[in-house]
Amino acid sequence: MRADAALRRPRTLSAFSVLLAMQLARARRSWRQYIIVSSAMPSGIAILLRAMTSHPGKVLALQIISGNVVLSVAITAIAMLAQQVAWMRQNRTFDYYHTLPVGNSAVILAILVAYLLFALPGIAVVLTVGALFYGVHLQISWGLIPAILATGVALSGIGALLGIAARDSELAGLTGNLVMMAVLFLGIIPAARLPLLLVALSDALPSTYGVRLILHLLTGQAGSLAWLVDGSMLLLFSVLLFLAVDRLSYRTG
Amino acid sequence: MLAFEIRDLHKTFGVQVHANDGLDFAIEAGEVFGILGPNGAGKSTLVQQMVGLSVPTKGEIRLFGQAVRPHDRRVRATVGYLAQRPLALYDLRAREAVVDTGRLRGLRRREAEEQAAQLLSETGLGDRRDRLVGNLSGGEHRLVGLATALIGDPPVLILDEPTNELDPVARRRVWDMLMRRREQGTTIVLVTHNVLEAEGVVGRVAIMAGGRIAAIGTPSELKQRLHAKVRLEIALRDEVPSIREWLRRGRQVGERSWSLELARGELGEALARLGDPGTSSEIADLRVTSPSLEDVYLSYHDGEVRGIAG
Repeated sequence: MRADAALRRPRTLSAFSVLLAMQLARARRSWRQYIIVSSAMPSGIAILLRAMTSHPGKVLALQIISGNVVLSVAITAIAMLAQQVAWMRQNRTFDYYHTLPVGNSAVILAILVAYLLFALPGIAVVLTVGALFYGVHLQISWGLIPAILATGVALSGIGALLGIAARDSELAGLTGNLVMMAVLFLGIIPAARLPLLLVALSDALPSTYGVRLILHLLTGQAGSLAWLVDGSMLLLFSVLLFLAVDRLSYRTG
Repeated sequence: MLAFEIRDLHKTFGVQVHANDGLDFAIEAGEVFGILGPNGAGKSTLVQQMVGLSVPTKGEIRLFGQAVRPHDRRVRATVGYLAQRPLALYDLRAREAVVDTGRLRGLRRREAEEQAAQLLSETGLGDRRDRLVGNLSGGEHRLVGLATALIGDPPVLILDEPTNELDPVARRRVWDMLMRRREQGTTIVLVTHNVLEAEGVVGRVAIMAGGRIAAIGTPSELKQRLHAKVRLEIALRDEVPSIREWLRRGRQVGERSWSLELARGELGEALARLGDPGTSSEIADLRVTSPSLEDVYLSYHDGEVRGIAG
């Protein structure tokens, strides 16, 4: 007869690294899909806008590039993740994780980070295409990593929430695509050219702060007050959205 | 010591569907406990509550004396669970799925790798260990799921249909694995349709029907309830007109084979009838058997036995 006297539980970091590796294994079969989807549409939009504007200024060019970087994140983090989470819920895939001694938040965070990492090749392609087609010099700095990470966590939070709330994966995919369109529209068009209502909506989306933060970094304006405000807002969105997902993750059971 | 105590457990979906309706029973630590019942009897709903995946509408479940709460990490660390649905780790190799599960149960990498190799060898998947789970057959997929439930050597196992989709050789392996765990003192809760095979492994059985426990006891206790009956199986070489009508009391199971359920008192008369020289010369095979656990299960399933819930 054995009871539960000598039970073991994994350390949080060790559990997270295993969970992340398990999520990243998805790329074994789908890596082409992740690269194509996260790079083709943002790069295509950047090229299209370049073809339609005869002399875009440097600021507008960088706004377009930053917006498309965030769009690249949004495609995997919102549209694809929402569908994946809804599918996992529908098929009771979460039951496997919910019967192991690991926290729900570690599972959710691993899925969010994995989908963010799937967007990285697309981001690299968008930056390269943007620099080539717009002929601008991009100030690539280490600061881009936390900026993209925070943007990714916030947008993944939206994707995961859509996946948790949707009735099925089709509906999650549809709403994910609609939110992604909002990110595209409000992220690329400068606030000064938007009607007041859309400016308010834009301020309520974390992607707006992500675009601005990346724009500050690409123009070498890191450290300014605006950079600090945008960075803080993005961080706040990331934390709040992650907590919301963690809180609602019982609905994945 | 009790592993599980289940008290007045109700689980209702919507207003009308009572998946579990007032369940009351206990499972001793170290016991192999079988839960049998037809589809829709409420077996999977019950075990999902036992592992904390689902919350009872009313009542309580205790594991080693402590209440099971939803998403309870103590329960997660104590119980190895094999769900009825296939394991959804399609993109991992079989070996990775088992090792990673072990690491999520708190094993060090080396320990997890050693145990995974042992489990994959026990299940007969040694040569499939580097295949993606999504590329395995249904049975192999099930065996990987079983290995993930067993890694880390949890003191309690809850296995929902562990031999589904398995061929006879793999089923034999699984029962042998479970017998070994039973000898080590692991508490095992088995949900199965495979009544004949489970009979050799389980210590006690609960038969569920319509969300309730219709009967509970050891297989011999349950069979005792059908003690007044015997089964007579007969195969003939050719048609025997003199017993044609009599055979129609039973069930025809082959071209010239019948299975008859008789009261013990009728057995002498039946054997005398078959002993007639004109009949006995045509008998190819004749067997008289006591009721098996499957007969008990079928008797509840067919509604023949009522009102003897344990």
